[in-house]
Amino acid sequence: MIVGLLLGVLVASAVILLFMMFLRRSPVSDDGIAEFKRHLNALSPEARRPIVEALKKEEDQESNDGT
Amino acid sequence: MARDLAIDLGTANTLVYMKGRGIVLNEPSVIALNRQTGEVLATGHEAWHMIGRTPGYIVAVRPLRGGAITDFDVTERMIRLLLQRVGVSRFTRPKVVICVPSAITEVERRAVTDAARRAGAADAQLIEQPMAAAIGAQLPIDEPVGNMVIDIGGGTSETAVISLGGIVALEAVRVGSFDIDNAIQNYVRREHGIAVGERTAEEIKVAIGSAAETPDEVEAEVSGRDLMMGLPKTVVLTPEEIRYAIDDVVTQIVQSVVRCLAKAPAELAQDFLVRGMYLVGGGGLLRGLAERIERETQVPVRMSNMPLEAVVLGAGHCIENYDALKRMFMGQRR
Repeated sequence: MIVGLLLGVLVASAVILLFMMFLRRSPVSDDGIAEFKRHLNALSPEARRPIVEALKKEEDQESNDGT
Repeated sequence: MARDLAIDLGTANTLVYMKGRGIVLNEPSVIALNRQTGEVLATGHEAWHMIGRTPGYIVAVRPLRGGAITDFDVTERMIRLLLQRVGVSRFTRPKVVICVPSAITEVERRAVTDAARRAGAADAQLIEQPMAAAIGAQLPIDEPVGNMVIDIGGGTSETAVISLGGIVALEAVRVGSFDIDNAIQNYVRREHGIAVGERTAEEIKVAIGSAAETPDEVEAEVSGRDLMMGLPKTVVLTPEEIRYAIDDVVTQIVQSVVRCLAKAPAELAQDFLVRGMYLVGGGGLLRGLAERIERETQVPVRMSNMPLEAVVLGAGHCIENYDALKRMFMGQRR
């Protein structure tokens, strides 16, 4: 009975330990790639379009006001 | 809550981009000071009109030369005034991204960030001008292809090869359109014996300056002070003369582009031949410069849609996507 309990505790702590190790490791290994992807996405023409369009709209408005 | 800012602190012009608002300020990087009291009398356009026309006790200065801070106090005051003019107060401290030449030294880098922080920025980050220019010129820098950008500013000329969001090769020289103005000033003084000011030299460059022969060339009448007699005198300058006068400076710029091409990985060479190089910055507007670079490198040269605003627009994009693009900032990648 006691041995079974001890074994259970041991298994449970091993599982928790493995789970914690997984939690600690996985973000580190993915982080660089995910961050790089985010970085590239933010540099894409699609991401830059709103700024360019806003500026063009402003310029058009200015030229219309001037004429 | 302060709106974050991107500043293109150029030798010639200063542009400010405000998050969510776009470009809110575009002025010459000039400040007019009372020499006796140290009081700031004017900045930007107003101060630019004062260059060479001030009484002895007023001095109109450009605090940046060759893209570097030559006068720390004046630069700090200029940044402080810029921030005030775009609505930054003592209680609203924005994050600021400042575009600087890539050849900036560690000391100069610290001088710029310190000046911005002391002027009221909560955080000051720096970004290399060619990288910001490539983002602002809408080049596909997120793709695995070679994007080449040539940024010719007032005090520096930089060429960079960018691929997959990073700089692959870079070449910078501390020569720019102000050196072209200086070369014109020196030529007119030496060959025609008259002294002309900085602004007149710039007007000559804009009117008849060119880096290569162009179809519709005209002569220009220039007035200055006769060095022998001390009286006003007018001379006629031809485009050939000006081309000869500025040839040394133009050659230095073209050679730096050639050096950058040589540094770039061979895999990307094909991309340049197909996609060409992009010219940004005010200096790129010099007539015939694109043709001259094209002739000497055998690579097509394309002019950006917004050559003067490309750098600040790129930095503005970094401000809009601060967290995703903070790894672009100087010191973050090394």
